[in-house]
Amino acid sequence: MSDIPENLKYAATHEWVNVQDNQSVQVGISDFAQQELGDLVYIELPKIGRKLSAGEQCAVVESVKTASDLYCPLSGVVVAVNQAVVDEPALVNEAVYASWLFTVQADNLAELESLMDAKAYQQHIDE
Amino acid sequence: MIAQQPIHIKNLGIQKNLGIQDYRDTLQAMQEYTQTRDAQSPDQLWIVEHPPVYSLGLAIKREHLLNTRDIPVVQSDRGGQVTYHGPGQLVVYTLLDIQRLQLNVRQLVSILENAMLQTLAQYGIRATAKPDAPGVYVADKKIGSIGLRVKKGCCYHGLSLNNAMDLSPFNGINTCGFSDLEVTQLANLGVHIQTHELAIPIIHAITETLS
Repeated sequence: MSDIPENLKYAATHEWVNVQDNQSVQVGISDFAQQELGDLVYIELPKIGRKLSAGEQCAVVESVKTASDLYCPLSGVVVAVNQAVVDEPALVNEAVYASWLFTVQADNLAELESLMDAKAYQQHIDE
Repeated sequence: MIAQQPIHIKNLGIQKNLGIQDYRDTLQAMQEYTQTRDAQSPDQLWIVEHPPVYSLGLAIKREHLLNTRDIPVVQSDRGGQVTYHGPGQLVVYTLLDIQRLQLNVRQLVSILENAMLQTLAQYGIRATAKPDAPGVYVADKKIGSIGLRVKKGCCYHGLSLNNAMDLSPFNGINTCGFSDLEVTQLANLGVHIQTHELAIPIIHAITETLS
């Protein structure tokens, strides 16, 4: 069973987003994703200041000798990255919803509408 | 790419025996195939050998390159650290839509490990996989390696299995990031076969599992 907090929104590519103040949005990977990937050994995050479009490939996580792409759920500019998970990728496996990867200053929060709520995401991973 | 006539296998799409191919060219061809594939594109297995080359994983630590001499070093985009490829090593690239196959990366790695284990068993070699260090080992010496990349639910790169090659270039690196990891090959274990023949049971094992 995957843990899917109600207060987050989810992308089909298994990222979660958490809206903070001032249109800034934290992005991480879902519990389902970390279970599917297995133990993370390396994380490559976008540079601060990089402009991203919704759905753009922007980060890579490595587990079991496999490097997998991550995608940015919303358009915006990267304003922060979580150095703690870069230094210790296993944190993501241990506490997946506390371990945000990067923060985006969103261009338009209306894009959240295209993401899934917890119920829809549960259906998505059950398919 | 000097592709021979593709062979269709059951539901699994296409297998191509490409012979000896430049590492960079093959990497580019895999990236292109993966970038441009759609939901209908067939899964493919590419069988190759490479001229001598060190390939680096995405997260490579340069300290694992010890003495690469005049052998080219190519930065790749796969998982894993550094490894060596050369003639006499079988390389099977797996270009699969793993989302369509409903596999996660851990299952995919197990399938590739099991294909190598089954093949080695057929030749009377008892090998093992290690949960904490993916790959295939004979008495703690590495014989088979795995490295993969996943983009939009599709994978490329694949596996390499040491058959009858010059193993000395492995001394120039910390293979897979381990300073004390020794390597071996079928020829050192008393099994003498052509590298392209070794591909047959490997491909059979992979296709059996996937189809």
